Amino acid sequence: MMYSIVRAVGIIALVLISTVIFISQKTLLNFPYNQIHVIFIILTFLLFFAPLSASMWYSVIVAFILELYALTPFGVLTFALVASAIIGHMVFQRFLTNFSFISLATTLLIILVSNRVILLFLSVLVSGTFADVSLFFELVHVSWEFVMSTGVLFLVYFLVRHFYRLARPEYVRR
Amino acid sequence: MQGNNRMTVFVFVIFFVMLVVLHYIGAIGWVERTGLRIINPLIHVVYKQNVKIRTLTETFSSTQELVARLEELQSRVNQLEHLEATSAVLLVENEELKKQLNFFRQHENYRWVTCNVVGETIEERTSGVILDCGTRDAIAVGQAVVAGEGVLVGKVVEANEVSSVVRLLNDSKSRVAVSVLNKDRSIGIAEGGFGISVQVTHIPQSEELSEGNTVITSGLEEYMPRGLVVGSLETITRESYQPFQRGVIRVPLDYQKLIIVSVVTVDAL
Repeated sequence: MMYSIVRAVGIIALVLISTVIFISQKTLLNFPYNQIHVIFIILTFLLFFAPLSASMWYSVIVAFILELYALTPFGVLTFALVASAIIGHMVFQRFLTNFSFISLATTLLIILVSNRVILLFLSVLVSGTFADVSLFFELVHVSWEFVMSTGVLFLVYFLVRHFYRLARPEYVRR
Repeated sequence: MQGNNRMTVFVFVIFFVMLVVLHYIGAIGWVERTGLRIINPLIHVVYKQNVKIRTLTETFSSTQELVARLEELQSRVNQLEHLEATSAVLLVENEELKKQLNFFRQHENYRWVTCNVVGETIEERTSGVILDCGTRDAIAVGQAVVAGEGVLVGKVVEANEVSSVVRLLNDSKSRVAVSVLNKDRSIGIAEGGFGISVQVTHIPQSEELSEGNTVITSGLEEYMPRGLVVGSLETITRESYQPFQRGVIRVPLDYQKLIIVSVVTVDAL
């Protein structure tokens, strides 16, 4: 019971911090630093070190809040983020299986790309046209997001690894 | 995917579908409003800081751009310096006007005209100022001119249609009937002293004057209302062989810094 309460409070705190940072950073930082995707970094860590339900709760609540600040029809962002989380989880569980930085970065990349693809797909579905889609722009955007987010992920990973036993590559969760 | 995880995913898919449906039928409007009420203040705080930082920092793509921006800012600084000086003058004027307005609010029977001081009289050894209002503004010769909170500074000695000349109290030829607020309520004359001082004279030796006594207008002359402050007695001189005693008046204003004054018109009498 106590654990559930602490976990819920932790997730709410993470949600608040990450959404505020995410919404604010576009105006605070210049390109390419504003491409650091705080939400995906946190989601990647949650997928690695917390139960799937925590990642799902985080995804749903964050996306729900972001929907309130978005122009896209309600549900698109939530669907994309939840689906990305599930895909990331599946990839981690089936193919990566260890806690190395490479696994973390790969999961982040998969989440980023899948999220972008799903968003593109849904936006085309909603608008009924490809006119607004530039694949080159999306590719550049995802690349920058990946590069910058991986940089932050790298820093956080080594901090977490230093202080958290589960994050060591030699440790395998049973 | 393990069985538990499959269940979790299934539950969340159902949850997501319900969320979307509830949103579109408006059933979770209160949740959305609560969310916005919590998040908006946080975002607002960060946004304000962002704007502050953005206004303090700038990035440049080339040296030319930086130099151009520097020149632009230099020009802006010059404009702002000018504006600052103008604001300082306006601030002083505003303070002065407020004081005068306050005085006239307390004396509703007075009618007055507010004028700008546009210059000083040109003659040497005189003390006078030129006002930008004249007979068309109901200014007449002999009217009292006040500044601050009802402090008499002089009298109108010349008035034409658009401007007038004021003889300040410290001019050698200035004479104003005054009263000292001592126990005898002494009556005397305030005279100017070569543009540097004001003295009260013609007060009999028998009457007692003290340093600090306030000197006001007595109202015994045409156009001059009673009760305008002239100043306070600073030093008193008694000569046993003279029929009258005299005192130097400390005036509460610097006559050389007058910028706005009010002329009291005849209704006050």
